[in-house]
Amino acid sequence: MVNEKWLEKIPADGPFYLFQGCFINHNYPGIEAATRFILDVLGTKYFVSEDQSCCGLPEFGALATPLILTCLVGRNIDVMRRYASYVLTPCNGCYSAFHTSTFLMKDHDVAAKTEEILGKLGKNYSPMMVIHFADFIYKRLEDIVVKSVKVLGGLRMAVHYGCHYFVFEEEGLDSRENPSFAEEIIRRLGGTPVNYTAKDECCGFGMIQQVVHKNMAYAITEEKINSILDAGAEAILVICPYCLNVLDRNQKVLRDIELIEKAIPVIHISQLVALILGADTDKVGFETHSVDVKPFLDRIEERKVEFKGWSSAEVASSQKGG
Amino acid sequence: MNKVSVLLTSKWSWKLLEEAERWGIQRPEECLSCGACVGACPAARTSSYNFRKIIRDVILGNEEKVLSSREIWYCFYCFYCTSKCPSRVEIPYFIMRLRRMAMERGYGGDILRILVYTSSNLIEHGVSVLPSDYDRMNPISAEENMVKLREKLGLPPVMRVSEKAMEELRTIFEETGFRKEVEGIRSGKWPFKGISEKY
Ligand code: SF4
Ligand code: SF4
Repeated sequence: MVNEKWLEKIPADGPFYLFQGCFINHNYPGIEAATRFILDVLGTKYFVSEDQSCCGLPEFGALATPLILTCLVGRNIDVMRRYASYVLTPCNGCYSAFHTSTFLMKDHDVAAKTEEILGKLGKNYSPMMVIHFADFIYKRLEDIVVKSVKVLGGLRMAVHYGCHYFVFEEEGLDSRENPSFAEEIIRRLGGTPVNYTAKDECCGFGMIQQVVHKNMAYAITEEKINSILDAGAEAILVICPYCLNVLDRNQKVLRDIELIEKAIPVIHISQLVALILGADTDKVGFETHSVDVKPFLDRIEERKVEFKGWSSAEVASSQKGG
Repeated sequence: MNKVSVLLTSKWSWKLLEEAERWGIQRPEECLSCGACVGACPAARTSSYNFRKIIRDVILGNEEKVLSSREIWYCFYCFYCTSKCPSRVEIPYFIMRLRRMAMERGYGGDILRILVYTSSNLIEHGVSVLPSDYDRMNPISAEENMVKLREKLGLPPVMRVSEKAMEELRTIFEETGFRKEVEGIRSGKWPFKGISEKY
């Protein structure tokens, strides 16, 4: 069930500050290109700034120090507020950085020290509404369908939302129990959403496990991929660059040791929607993917607008005019 | 609070549970030992990790045993447990708290030295992931390829954080003690004790 309250709060037209996550900007620029393309097609105004830094989540994840996260978030918000009242991000990591920071500020000591440090920079901490780009796509789904030039041609897609989309229950369009908004997006774009048993499980990244305990990460990715393959999906849709990285790259290792039978392309929601809106296939950064995306691209078809005869209202008005 | 925890309250030898509450965490002694979290947990499926064992040792006051163990480094921070827990115990935050306490007692250095590169990047460039991280086997060509790819995609050059912002960030790194900690980890001076593989 889509959280209507949250949906209502999302401004359809912005303007937005587009948060430049470093993993997207420096490792998956195709997601950034696709995101900007979508905003341009929809005529939505957005800003970026070189005064922005990293979100701070990797440092909190590694060193478990609240202050580095709260101070970076507080400083970034101060920068972003100069441009817009709402933040957009296509990364679950950046998304949860802001909400985690607000959560950590409940600790009085953390809050006091954060204010003290930000005070030295002439700033203070005040949260801002941060919206996941996937939520924005859902908000503008009607416009996207109207402007679409391609369709998914029935392609069977499995959605992996990613754990950190769900951590904060009041934020976001769906809860972990039975999320459905991305499936709805797939359906409206002409695809067939596929359900699978391991849907609400981690991709394997595990915040630190992909680098610290690799075998554990691979084992979890394997469960996920096999569950998706068993359900008969032909492609995986993600909303986070880290999930994309892990689900895509780990497949090579898993195939080498024959733990999965075949490869399955992994696509970020921005890449999918940009293609549907007419972006060139070589302008969404598939160079950075390890699994061949051709089986996915082959299924994207031109959208044929079928003529179903004049509707009676149109006939009536043209007669009147004629 | 359940009965067993009440009985054991007097044995808590550390301030951990109060600390947990300060972080706004649902107090872990609300745990009903129902096991719903273990059934869902990816760490439990792939290692010896069992949150109920950890919480039991916390309650019994076996602090050194918990903090010196590899167990607390297995969590995926995926919050699957929290979504299944009838008491909504926020286990991953609690585990983060334990990791922090372990570091403060000198444990976890080997793991932190694997993870510290993002922090070093942040201190030097204001971002955690660099174009050169795209291929750590060959960072120079990775950097070149990323710059070219952005150009091909019609994007502005790679994100650089302005000098004005770096100046502010340096104040944050100093005041939070972050720069000192990262240097300590990199030089091997902190934390320095190995963790125990047995639990
Ligand atoms: S699910 Fe919650 S109550 Fe049940 S054992 Fe786990 S932490 Fe305890
Ligand atoms: S957050 Fe940690 S304890 Fe909870 S389910 Fe995930 S791995 Fe297990």
